[in-house]
Amino acid sequence: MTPRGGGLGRARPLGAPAAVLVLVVVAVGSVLIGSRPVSPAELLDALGGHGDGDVLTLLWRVRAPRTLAALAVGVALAVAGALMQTTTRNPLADPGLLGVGAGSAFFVTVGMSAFGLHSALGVALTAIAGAAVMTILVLLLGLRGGDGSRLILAGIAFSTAVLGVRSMITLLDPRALDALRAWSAGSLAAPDQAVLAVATPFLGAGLLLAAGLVRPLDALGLGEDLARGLGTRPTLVRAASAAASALLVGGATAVAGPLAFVGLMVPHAVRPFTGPGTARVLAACLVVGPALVLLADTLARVALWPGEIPVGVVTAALGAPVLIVLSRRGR
Amino acid sequence: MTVRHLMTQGLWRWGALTAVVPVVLFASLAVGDLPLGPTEVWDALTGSATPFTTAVVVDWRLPRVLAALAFGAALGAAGAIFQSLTRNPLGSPDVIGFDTGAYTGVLLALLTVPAAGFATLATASLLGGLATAALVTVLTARSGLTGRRFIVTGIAVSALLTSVNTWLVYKTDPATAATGSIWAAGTLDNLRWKQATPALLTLAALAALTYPVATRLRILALGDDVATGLGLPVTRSRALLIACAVGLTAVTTAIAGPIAFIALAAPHLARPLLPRGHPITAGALVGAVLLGVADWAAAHLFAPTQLPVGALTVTLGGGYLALTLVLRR
Repeated sequence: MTPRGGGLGRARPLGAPAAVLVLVVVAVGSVLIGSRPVSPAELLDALGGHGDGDVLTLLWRVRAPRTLAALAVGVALAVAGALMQTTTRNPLADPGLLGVGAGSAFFVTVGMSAFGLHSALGVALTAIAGAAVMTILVLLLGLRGGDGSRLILAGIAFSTAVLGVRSMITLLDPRALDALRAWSAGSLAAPDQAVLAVATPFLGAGLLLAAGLVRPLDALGLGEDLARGLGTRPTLVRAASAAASALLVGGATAVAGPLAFVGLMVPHAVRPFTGPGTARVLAACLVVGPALVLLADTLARVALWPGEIPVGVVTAALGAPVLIVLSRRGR
Repeated sequence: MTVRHLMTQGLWRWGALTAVVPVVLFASLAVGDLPLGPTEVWDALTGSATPFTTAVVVDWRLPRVLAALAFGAALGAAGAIFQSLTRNPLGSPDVIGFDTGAYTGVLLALLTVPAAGFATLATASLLGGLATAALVTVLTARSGLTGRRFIVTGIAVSALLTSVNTWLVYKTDPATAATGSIWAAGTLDNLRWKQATPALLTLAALAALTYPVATRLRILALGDDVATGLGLPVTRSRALLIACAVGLTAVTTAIAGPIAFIALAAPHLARPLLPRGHPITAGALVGAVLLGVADWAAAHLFAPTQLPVGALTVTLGGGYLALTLVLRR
């Protein structure tokens, strides 16, 4: 990891409050903006418990769950991205680009069409299992060292193959199309609240595990020998990091389908402000990740107003230029 | 490539693989909803069969098979050129976003041109693919074609265009979106002489253009300094070769839609199968066999459902690439 100078040790006292403020603003915006806009006055009325019945239904049944889902997905993907970048030592690591989201979605696709696993728990568990398999593969590949782009290419290859399988399934069994449609592009349009509820404990477990990894990962950043000297066991740390990433990405994919580029953009966006320390990077990801996903999801609702596009389309449009810039910045 | 040359380089390998081509051709002409015996196929080709059999073989099956073989050869040759120039065994026109850009072109044409016909869509896909290739090349002009930046930039541009494409699909009415997605699947279904003839003629012309510059590829592979020392205009040769590769891919994509991974896999498979002296010819031969077999399988494996051959190649090819990357040291 080679963060560009700047933040190390230098205090940026306004960074954290500013980020939190942005998060609050986009969260409120996400609640208000949509095909049926809600005015701030209506929101205040609704919070006071009185207001138009339709508006109340809209806010509590549609907008609030969607905003919560975006928050959860943003936190999970940003933290997972930071973990993967640190553990694979590849600045271009991202759960979506490395195919972890696709692996997750693939397991769900197969689970739904071949084994009839449509329950919320079934979806969440298959998603996490798929993410785990892919994370382990990615990590094994990454540890072999060499060119960082190979990881990405492997991820792209895998994602394309998964897309191909999905299109074959849907061509051969058109009825499967409906169940799988939400899984193709990454969408928060109608998050399944049962899935969100089931996924939350897994996301929480992933976050706790990530919090426990802060010190060992910092030690590992000093190099394997130094880390061993400091009493860290590199293999154990990497395994734990893979487990945390799998829980986070699997949970997020269960809720929203595969979303690329969030895990790539957020850690790079925050590092100039936080410096390389894992604790501060992860803490910043907790705020900036959800802000980005909320912003993307709100843009997804505005781009074709009153219709909307999948949020994955927006994150790709925002993230692809970042990838170009990062790959131009030589290592 | 003289005969003596070929002898010393394992003529039998070339011969064996070349012999597979007529087998694929004949099998594709014989097998289908109306199974035909070898004599019937032969009679149809020589014009002594019933009009119906002749129609099935000559008007329906023959253009599709010939197109599959020719398109496969074009993609295989283009892949061999790309991989040699980028010095990256993973470089291929589809990996750097050519197909995605061609799809963007088709969607834009469907949106802007009322009642866009086949020729319009083919032109649009051509322009879209070329513009994307140009964009990726310009973005990596400083670091050059070799190395990871070229491929990562291609992936990024491809991701960006994919999201533009999705947005365009959502924006159009369902009927237009359906037309677009049929193209996007990559298929040779319903290909008749009307579309096959111009495509085959264009590919033949491009092959004639590529052949004389093909040897330059081997000199370029020695490195820019050596190539310059040998008197080769390096930049111009490279541009010429890229133009040939892009042209070969563009014609195929314009007619059939994106057929992924043939360009990537054919040169790979050619390396252990054929002597290494003629990478472009080898890639073309393996590509022809690959796409010929893949198209036949896509049409008949899940009958009566006609699978677009693009869906088959993307699945097998994506899996193959992922596996290669995992296993490679």
